[in-house]
Amino acid sequence: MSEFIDNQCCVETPEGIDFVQSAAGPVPRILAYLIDLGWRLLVYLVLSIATAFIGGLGTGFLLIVTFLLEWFYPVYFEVYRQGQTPGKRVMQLCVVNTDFTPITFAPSLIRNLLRWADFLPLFYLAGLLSMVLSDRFQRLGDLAAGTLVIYRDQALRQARMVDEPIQPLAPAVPLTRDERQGIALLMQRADQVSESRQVELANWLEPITGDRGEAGLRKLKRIGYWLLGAK
Amino acid sequence: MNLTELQLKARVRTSWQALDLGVKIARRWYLSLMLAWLIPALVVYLLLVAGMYAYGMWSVSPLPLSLSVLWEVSPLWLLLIIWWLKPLLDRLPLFLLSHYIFNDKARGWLHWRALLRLYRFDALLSLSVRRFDIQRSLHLPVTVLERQKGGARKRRCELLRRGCGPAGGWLTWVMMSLEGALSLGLAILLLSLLGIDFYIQPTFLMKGSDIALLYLEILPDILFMALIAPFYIACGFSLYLNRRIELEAWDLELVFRESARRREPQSTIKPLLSAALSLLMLCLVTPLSIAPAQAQEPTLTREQLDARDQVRTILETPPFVIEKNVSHWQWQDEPDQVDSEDSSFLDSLNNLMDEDSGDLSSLFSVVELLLWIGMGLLVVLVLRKLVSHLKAAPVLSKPNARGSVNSPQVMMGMAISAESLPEQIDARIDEAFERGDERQAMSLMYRHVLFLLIHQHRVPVEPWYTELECADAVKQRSQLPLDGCWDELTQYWVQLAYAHQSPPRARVQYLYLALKKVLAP
Repeated sequence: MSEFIDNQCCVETPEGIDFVQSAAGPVPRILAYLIDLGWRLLVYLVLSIATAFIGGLGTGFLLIVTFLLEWFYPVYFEVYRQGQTPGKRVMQLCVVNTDFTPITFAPSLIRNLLRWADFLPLFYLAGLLSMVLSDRFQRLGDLAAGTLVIYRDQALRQARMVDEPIQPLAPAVPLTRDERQGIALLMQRADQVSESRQVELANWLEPITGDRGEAGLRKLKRIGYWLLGAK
Repeated sequence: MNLTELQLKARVRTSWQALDLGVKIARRWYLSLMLAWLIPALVVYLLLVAGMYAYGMWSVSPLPLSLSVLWEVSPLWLLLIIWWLKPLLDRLPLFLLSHYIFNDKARGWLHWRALLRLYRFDALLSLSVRRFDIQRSLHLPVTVLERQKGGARKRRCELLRRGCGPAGGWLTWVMMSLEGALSLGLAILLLSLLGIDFYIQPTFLMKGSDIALLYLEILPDILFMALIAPFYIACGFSLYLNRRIELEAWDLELVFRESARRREPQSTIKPLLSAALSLLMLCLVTPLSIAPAQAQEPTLTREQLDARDQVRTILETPPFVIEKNVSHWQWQDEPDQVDSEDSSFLDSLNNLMDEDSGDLSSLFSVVELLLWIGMGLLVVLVLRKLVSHLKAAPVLSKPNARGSVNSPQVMMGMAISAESLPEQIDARIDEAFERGDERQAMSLMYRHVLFLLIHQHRVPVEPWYTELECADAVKQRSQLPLDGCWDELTQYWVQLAYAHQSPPRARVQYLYLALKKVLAP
């Protein structure tokens, strides 16, 4: 069977620890870019109105600001704002090196100077093609600079409070890591999944609970409560 | 739908991440999805062109007029019709994708009757009321795969939409913009590569003579739609799947199924079966020595399984699992574990530390004592250095340390050490003068003063200095108030020693006394 399709990428440290992050794809990145573009256009609009009365000097000033903003706007935010331009902050993205270390000045400069290679022939088509073809959604600039756009860590899912009094129960048989996680997740997602579906799921774990149907689910929840720390 | 064959990594993702996953899904089966969109679109295109042509033929018989009908119907209308049919054209790729994603290789459903049913289902509403549904790609699977209509469909869509946020709408907007960007961008690329002035306007506005060209011009636009469509469909489908994974806990089902499969050997049927089988084999082939080994194999593995579970059970119980709450940071004892193997000293130290904490504290107190002693020694050394420095301080022109400490005992062939000088030196001098031995008297005076200068006032001299060099050295020590007495005495001594000229006794004695008063008060 071929490999599973997944959007996560993983870096393993020499100590054998896996760091897992989700690489961000074209759609959120396009939206983040448009937000940044909007901010820049707003600045240009305000400046062009303000400098319209000064004449030639104002035009020169406007051109310099345009140059600086077009080239170094992303560099500034990526280096000094934890890899997040305002648009990326809205979309909860950030730029990191491919080993997930914070981005520094040199890679940021490279990936933003190569922005214009990505822009060709128009509207970032080269960048989009590169993003679709590369495994971790890297555009040409990212590939050259060794950087990656990932999602900032989301807030952890809050453990669901247990409404009805449940007596915690130690599992009768030893559980593997996956099973523990699965049972704990079922506890936390109980408000999302319908009751009948939960019973269906609990039936699979009959070897653990020793019961079927409603009774099995109740028992599974008691075990889940125990796994979540209640003793 | 066979969940165990799901080609995705089942996990609850955010809706944006589901869109990213959709891009990857589209990438894997891109060609077939694209063709599944493009071929029906081309069929529609050909049907429309043929239909228009036939209409022209039938309505008015002369050929030139029929051509004029074609001119009046601009190709843009054709493009609009195909664009309008998108909700139907998207159905086949989605249907294919739903099979791909569950690794369903069967192609029995692929005949024209099934295709017709696929396209015809709820088609009218799709093309009219719901054509401008901004979350179309998310709702499409409900129609195509779940085959729901009316109220049921509405409720279902609402349920799916609830957890997706604005992602579905933004997806449609972005893909629509990309279609435009693609056609414009590729046109610019083409023009820049051709490098010629190319006017698009005349062929569209003027009634060109070449009809075929007119209708061929919309083909690239159809192609661009087909290029983008797989991404749009796959992203919407991914969003839909993500929501279903969340609502129906597919990821958990996969885990639980795997768990059930793993625990299956413990259920009642399998062991019985294997036991019966082994018994049967034992009966059948007892003479063969190989038989028992073969027969025991299944039971052995079962025992191993049991043993593994027992071990796990034991490892779960308190001596091995000690749970405690730690609410503050604390140092790990990592280095102990790392170094203990290759260092015997650290080993013994660890043992010492591990045995009990009393030893540990005594060790610490010993170390503390050593540290304090070292500290005290350091302070004493510093103080001594400071004192010696203060002692030497009045000597402004810092004397050569070697010269002052190891002052020469013999100068110009004369012993000038303290031992070499007689006890009552003044009496001996007077005695020598009385006797008429001026040389003896002068030598005593000169040596005594030199002794005082060199050994008590630490005038820096070297053993090879002559009398005049000694006088110079003394003159360097300007803080000694000698008033030239020493120079004069030296002069008298030199005249006596080398020229045998007698010094005036009174003057010499006066000089000697004056010098003694200054140097040895």
